[in-house]
Amino acid sequence: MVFRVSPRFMKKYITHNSEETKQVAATLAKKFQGGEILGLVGDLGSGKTNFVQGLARYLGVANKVNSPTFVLMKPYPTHHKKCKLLVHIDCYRLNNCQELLNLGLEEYLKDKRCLTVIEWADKIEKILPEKTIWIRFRLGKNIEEREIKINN
Amino acid sequence: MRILAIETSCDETAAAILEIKNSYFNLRSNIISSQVKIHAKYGGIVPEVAARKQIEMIMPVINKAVICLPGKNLKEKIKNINYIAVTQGPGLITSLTVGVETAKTLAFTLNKPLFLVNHLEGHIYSALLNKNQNYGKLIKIKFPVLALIVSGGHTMLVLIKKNNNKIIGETLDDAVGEAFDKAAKILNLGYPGGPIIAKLAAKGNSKKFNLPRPMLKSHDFNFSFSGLKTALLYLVRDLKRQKKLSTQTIQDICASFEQACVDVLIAKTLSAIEKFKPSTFILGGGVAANQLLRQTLAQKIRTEFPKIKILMPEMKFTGDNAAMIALAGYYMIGSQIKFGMTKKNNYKRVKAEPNLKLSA
Repeated sequence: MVFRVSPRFMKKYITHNSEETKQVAATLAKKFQGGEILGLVGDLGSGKTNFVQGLARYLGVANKVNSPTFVLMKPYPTHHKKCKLLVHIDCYRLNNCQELLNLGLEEYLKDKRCLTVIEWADKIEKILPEKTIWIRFRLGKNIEEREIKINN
Repeated sequence: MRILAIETSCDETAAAILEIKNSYFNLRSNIISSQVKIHAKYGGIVPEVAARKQIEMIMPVINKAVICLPGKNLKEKIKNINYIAVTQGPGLITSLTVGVETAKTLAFTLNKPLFLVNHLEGHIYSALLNKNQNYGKLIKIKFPVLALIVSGGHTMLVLIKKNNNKIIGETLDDAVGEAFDKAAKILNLGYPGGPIIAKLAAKGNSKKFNLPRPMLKSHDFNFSFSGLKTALLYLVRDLKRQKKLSTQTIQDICASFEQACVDVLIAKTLSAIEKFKPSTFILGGGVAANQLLRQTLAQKIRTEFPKIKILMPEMKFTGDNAAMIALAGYYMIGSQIKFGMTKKNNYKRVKAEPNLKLSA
């Protein structure tokens, strides 16, 4: 894992396998107090779901965390002191924001005991609050390598 | 007895009337929203939002399903049902709620028992409707059953004994149908991916590209399709850069991708059969429509485990439909309460469960 700090408070990581991507997620999650919102942006296969699995492992989620693409949203109870619920959202299939609002997204976003993680969050950028932590994923040079930029 | 079933777990709105007499079934109607000429009738564009679409579709679909029943008008016809079965989950919460609330209201006003069916169990039972006609004798299942459920939202192996279900393996990331959709997206082929890829794969060479077979040696029954998706992504990226992405190449990629998915599904299924020694094997779910999967699975099981009875759903029952929900509901009547038969006094407690688990 390579770690650099860029001038704009942007942290950049280069990971070399899925385990390292999971560790980046765990490192970030150490500071969480509950109520955080993470907006994940990046192409298919760039490591977003993997990152969420890393968060889930750190928070002590007992369930298997797999892709929520089909059902849009999967809430998981955790064993973390402050973030009691990990809400995993995927906007891949989404055409507009309304559908997520129907699913009760706003309540989760406001809830101080929730950690809300949104894949393909750029699609619903306009309904996400300013405090959203944006994380960008890029494919690396080789098949295992990923570039992760965290805008905190 | 006549069962009215309602299925609204995702995009499709479906209703069916299933009659069962002395273990003979007669599927009187099986309506899926896409079959109803709703656009023309309502003179507008159907909204993209799945749940709103469900709300608009549900009553026309149910009305069309009950037309086959005796009676002068809809009001009389619908009184001629004996039970109501509805998909409780898993699925999209807003979509599920439309079906469950409608079913609750009907059950309450008509005073009929309501059965809450697990969508995945529906997919398993869909294989029992394997008659091309809409009527026939119901197949008797010999337990234990090993079921492989493959769809856009699920990929799992389930071991079913007389009184309990157990998920012995499932996907750790993407479902196989989702992998097909995303592969089609990577190749810019459109949606839904399954049928498009299968069609192009038929003209391609599956040995042209060596794609990974994820989890093949994991010594459990779990699946993973995310790595395969990534491998495809890099392959396509490199070919694009080299300007080698011709039609023939795309067909070869599709064939190689389809083969990789099928290989993993089959390897896991065969090792599960070897370990759990089921009497019956059932395939279910939307991806059960894939011909390569159907044929290779049937052939492999027949050669390696000739004693096992193989059941696969008719093509028309592979996607989401209400006929399978009706049949699953029928078996709930037979086996008393499995997932909960609700009486008039506890209708309030009935609600949709988007993360409903299969294991009882």
